[in-house]
Amino acid sequence: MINTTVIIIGGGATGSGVLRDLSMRGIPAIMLEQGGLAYGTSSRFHGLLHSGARYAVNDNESAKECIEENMILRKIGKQCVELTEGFFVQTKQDDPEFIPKWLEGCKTAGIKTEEVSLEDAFKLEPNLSRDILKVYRVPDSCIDGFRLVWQNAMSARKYGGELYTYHKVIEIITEGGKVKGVKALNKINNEIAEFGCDYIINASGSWAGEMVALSGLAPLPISPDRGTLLVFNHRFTSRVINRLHKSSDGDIFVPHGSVTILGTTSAEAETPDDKTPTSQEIVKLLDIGRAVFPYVDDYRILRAFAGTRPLYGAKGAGRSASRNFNIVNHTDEGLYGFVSIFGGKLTTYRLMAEKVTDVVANLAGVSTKCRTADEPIIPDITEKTITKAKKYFPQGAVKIVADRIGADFDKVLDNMEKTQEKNEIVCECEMVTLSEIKYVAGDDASYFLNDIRLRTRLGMGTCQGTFCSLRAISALENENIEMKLKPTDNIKNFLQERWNGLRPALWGGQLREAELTRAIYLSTLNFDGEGYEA
Amino acid sequence: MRHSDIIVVGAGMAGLMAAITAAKAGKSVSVLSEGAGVLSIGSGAVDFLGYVDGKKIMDSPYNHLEELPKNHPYNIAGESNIKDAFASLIEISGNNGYKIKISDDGCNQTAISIVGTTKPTYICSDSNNASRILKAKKILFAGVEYLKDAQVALAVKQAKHYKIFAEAELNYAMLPSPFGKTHRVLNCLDIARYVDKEEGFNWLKSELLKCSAGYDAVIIPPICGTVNYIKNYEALKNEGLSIVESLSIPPGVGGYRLRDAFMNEAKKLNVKFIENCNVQRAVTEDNKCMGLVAVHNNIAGAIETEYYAEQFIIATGGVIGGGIVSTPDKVYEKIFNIQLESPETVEERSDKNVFGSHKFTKFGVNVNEKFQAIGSNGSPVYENVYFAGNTLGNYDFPTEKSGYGVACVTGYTAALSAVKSK
Repeated sequence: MINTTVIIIGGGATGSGVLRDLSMRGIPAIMLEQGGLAYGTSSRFHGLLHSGARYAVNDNESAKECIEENMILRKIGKQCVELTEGFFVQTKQDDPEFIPKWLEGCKTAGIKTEEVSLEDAFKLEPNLSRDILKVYRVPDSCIDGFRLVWQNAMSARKYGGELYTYHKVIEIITEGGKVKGVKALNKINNEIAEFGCDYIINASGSWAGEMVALSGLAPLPISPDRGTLLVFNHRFTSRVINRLHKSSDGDIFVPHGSVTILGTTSAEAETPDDKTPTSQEIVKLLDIGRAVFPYVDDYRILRAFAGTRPLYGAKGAGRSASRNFNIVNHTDEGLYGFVSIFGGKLTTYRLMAEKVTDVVANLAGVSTKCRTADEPIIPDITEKTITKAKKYFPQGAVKIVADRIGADFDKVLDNMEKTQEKNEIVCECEMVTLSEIKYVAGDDASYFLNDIRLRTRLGMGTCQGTFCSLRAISALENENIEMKLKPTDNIKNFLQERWNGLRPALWGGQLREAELTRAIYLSTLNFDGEGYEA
Repeated sequence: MRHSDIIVVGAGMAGLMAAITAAKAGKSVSVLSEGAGVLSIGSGAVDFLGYVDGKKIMDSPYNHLEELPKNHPYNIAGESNIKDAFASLIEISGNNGYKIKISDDGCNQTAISIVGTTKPTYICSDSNNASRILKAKKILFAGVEYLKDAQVALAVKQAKHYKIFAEAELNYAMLPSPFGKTHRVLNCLDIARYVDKEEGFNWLKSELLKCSAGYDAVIIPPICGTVNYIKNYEALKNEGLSIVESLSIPPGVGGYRLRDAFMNEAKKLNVKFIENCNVQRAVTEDNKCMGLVAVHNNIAGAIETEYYAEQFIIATGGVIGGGIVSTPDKVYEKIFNIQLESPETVEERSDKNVFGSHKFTKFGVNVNEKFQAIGSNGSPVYENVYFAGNTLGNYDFPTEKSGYGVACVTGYTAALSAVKSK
């Protein structure tokens, strides 16, 4: 049995933010995540750092929170944020009467807006539809959800926080109206691990209702709502592009690295695990997206993915910190030390973590103040390191890799220097180097090639792993770095994950690419035949 | 406006086989091709039939043709055409510097891939044939430094899983890169081209001799050369080296050698090649094709050109080659806009398992014994148009391991039909 003060259930943005906050306040904490980090919704959204403009009319309080947190994250998490800015565009289909309301809402929330002439807008974003009527600039940005979660977790570790991935909580242990700990299933070895604690923070997002039910309390009225998004093999916009109308399906385009994401839909999901997009949703997204980018069908779809948002029923005893997210202290229902947090958005994850940490710190009698709004998640690398790194990394890759790896960039660089692995690129689409893969593979939380993918972006580009997964596995084998699966199974596992996202969009260029992957892995390498023969 | 007896669309295995077969019969032939075709990046081994319903075939694939559906391209072509096509392929290739063969007993042979997996294949070069080293006691997997696609530690680990290597001692070694550190990722074709040169060959020979002492066989990536492959391979044999070249992911070098041989033969036969030629549509009258309209992309923009012929052979490579186009609602053959059977929903096109049995892989044109597309009433849609290769339906080349085999046989048979007509 492992003992700590606080157990955090859920390794998404909220959970890792809480782990960091608690650890910075000196409160011992362990975070348990059922999959790899950011397994749930934190890796399944469009990667937009909201300016709040989207909520300006309907939910001004959320809008305010967004712009405040947006400005904080630009400072503390700049390695995860790409400062793209955003456009709100009005198409012929959008009601012009919405505009004054929207401008007013932005002003109230403190969100800066500026009208951009169509001529300038088309110069900046040449792929935009020429039927667009009005364009406004807002301080939207892009954020890498995987990276944000990882860097929070890494920072938390430095302050003593611990994390266990692939641990699914299956029992909440209580005694005399107090929480005592949890039992978790280790999905890697199928053993049950027991953790003792004084407090539990339930930050499990769409699974929050399930976790409350485990504790024996009346279930929370949380229903998962599925959002589907599309990834295109092209960065055809340099800015976040929003439709200037009441928030709706398929009205946001977000550029990320070498790709563009279009989202999202909204449909009731049966379970929080309901993450399979449907082809109808994809066709619908394309239909809507065409009004903004008329040639949207010409870009190859890399994959579709879906995540579930935890929607909280209006009734219920939520002592909400705002209309945006909810904190429930179950002490009031007779279970001392159990606190749930749910709702909210990735943009406000830090604030959510702060508020729920306040609740638990208060219970624990700790008065240390929250510092997460001021202290950068990872420290800047020095000029000296950058100069040195330029000798070893491919052109233009230093910043990319440094942002990805964060505080341990020096370690990767040292390894490059020692082993002469200069310029050794494994994944060309995303400029992932061998040293980086080795470093990430060596982390305790890396079990599968997929875990390496999430941290490095290996296989997230044009080839979707067709070429680089083989190279990555080969390289790890060469270096004698053991993974949980044997090499052919690891590649299959990796390609299977990519396949799940491709299946509902299987037409055009995507289908062609799928056939190329089969030609390589089945026809030439015979993975389906003798790949597994003992 | 150009005119030929026969126009072939596509320059992959099926297209080149068709063009050469028709030209040999005395026809004037033009090949319209968009690019170099996937043949040039393939491994070069010609698979006939390696698996039926997941069951591996190590005897003669002819014994298993009956287990395939009646409308499988092999069964449409028939055994005698298959035999003739393969014989012709071996002759063409051998006459042009790339010697490939069927095993003496007519059974499938074993090839080994760069990751150490093995697979049954039917026609391959001596260097790709791993069957001949299965009795070796000590085998060395030699890689080349910085050649990322051929990591030998992985290959050895994988090969150890197989019964055929159970008795053997497997080790690996790394040949130092002849280029040192390069600014882009090195591939097998880079090294094979270097080995074409005397300097490169000497590098390969001396490095192999250094590390292979005491080994019965050495498995290397396909790097023995492109144009000088035969000469180099024989010279290494004369040094006492028993070399096996593994099958590589693109660029696979073997496919490059094979294509080179085809192109040589085609030149001898005066086959005309029109490249960068993207055929858009057909001009038809009743059930006859009069000509094809193609787009050439050049600096001046897209230019449309018409090509006329008596007979047309369509070898556009199916889904992977772009000959079959799919949208969320339909699947169709691109040039003649022939609607193809496909499931109602996109989801039904594929299996949940990435390596499972997918319906999309069997998308293709239904043909009669002459390889003319047939409509729902069973009669030919166009009397002078023949289809070959992956644009045909009813087979799944990656799981069957039948890709180049079907392409070769159907290209050959479709050409015979075209030649015989009128």
